[in-house]
Amino acid sequence: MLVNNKALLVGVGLRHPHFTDILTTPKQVDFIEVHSENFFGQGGAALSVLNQVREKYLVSLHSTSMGLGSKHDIPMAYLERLKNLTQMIDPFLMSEHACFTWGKQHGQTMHSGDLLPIAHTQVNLARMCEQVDKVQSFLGRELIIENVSAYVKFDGSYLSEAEFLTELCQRTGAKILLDINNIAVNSLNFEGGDIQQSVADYINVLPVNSVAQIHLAGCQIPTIGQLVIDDHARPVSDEVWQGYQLAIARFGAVPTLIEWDNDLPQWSVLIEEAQKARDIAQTILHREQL
Amino acid sequence: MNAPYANNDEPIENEQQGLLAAIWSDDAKVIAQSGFDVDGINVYRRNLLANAERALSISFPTVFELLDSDVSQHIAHQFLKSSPPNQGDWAQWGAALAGFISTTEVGYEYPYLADCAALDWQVHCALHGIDQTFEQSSLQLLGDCQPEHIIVKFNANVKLLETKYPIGDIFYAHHGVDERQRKASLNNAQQALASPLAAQTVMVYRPEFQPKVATLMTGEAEFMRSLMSGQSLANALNNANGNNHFSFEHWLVKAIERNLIYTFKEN
Repeated sequence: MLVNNKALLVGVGLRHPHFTDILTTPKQVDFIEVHSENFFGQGGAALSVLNQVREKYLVSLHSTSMGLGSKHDIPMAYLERLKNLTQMIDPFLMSEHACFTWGKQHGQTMHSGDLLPIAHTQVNLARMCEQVDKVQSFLGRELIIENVSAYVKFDGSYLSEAEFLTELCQRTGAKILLDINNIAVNSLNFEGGDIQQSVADYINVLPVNSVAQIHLAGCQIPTIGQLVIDDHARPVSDEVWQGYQLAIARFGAVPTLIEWDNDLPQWSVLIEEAQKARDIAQTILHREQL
Repeated sequence: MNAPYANNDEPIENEQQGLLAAIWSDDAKVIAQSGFDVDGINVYRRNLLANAERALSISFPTVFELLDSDVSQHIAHQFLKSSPPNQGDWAQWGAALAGFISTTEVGYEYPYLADCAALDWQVHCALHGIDQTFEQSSLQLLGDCQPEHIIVKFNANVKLLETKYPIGDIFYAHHGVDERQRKASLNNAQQALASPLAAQTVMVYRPEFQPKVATLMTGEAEFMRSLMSGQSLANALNNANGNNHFSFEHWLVKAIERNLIYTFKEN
């Protein structure tokens, strides 16, 4: 599906409780994003809804289990399911995370059930490039790779995540999915919490043509001394909106998504968040044109 | 505190397995000695258990309604350890839960629980199963061929479960369409559990998108089991004929309504 890259596209994540809303309300966003794995079934109502949605909206498939940074190969059964879905939906974007998910237990393949961080080293970079090449070749599509929030760090990391992703994209042709909230969470958990500075430092490393999508989300802020959990359960915070302005100023009209996965609000609240993203981006883009 | 051993040239497998081992261990000493920040590991541990519980509560709604939350949490935790997910999709995790429950204390205490889990799993699979509708043109075979040469291919979402517990009634006691159905099903289930247990066959089927559950009469169960095992229509009819309540004509009308049949084929 071809998209006019000069138009600002704004979308929302679609979750099961909003299926009726999206099918029965006028179109107010440009695209919707779903978690690929939620549609791995061979049929059923959810897949039927997605097929109806794609007649009206662009669809982005966001995968959460591929584990491109895993030492262990991604099981072919997983990739086959993803390929079937991709061929059926013809998404305009396909994304995954810069993390690992696969491992071994008692000699058997296991899935971590979460997005686990990787050390940002040349060895891991080479491994992830290998996996991204393999997946892009298998799917016949370009991937966009998302920076992740993390709750532990590796001493061995000597590249920043931004440097790691930049190099990954240069070697594989993949693009970057910039999640501003993930930068904010890592800033609060590991970098002293100056979110504006963390976002600025991060995005200034990335080439201006490397970012293919932006994610915006909110999360609960815990009491002092506790780790911030990236729960996607709140409106986008002021700090993340400010980071978004910096990102739009640097990368231009990049498709932008409001992610809200837990404690879902009314559909109208999600749409308002998307409209806020559109307004902010258009203000910045208009200013840049002057 | 960061992991001290993930040096530049550390094999990826070691650092990744080290993190996985810390997250999946229940031994506080192992976690503390992993080299990773304990608070961070505990975040991943809580996420993992919450994801597992949520996934099982979606795939096994009856079981999770039957159990107190502390028991279901314990089962989710123990099942996670015994059968870790291996497909990258929480919705596909749980095929072994029924067998697992039968080995637990709560499964021993409530012996119908494992069969309820087996039924929940089949309903869950049918919910995401392939969309199939009856190939009506194949009905012609009933007029053109002898029953000895006809076999029936069932809709892929049709499954039979053998049990001695009233799991169909227990299912509808929790998922009936209205209060009346739920109450009636609960009464039926309570009565059946208080009476001598008898073998029964429960069927999962999917007329449209929503799977349904039915407890079959003896003749119908025998007939369907025969057909599903690949026997001809003639053999299946012979097997069911011992039961005076079975009528093929009635069964056929109901089977088409329920979307049980995918196609009739000539053998």
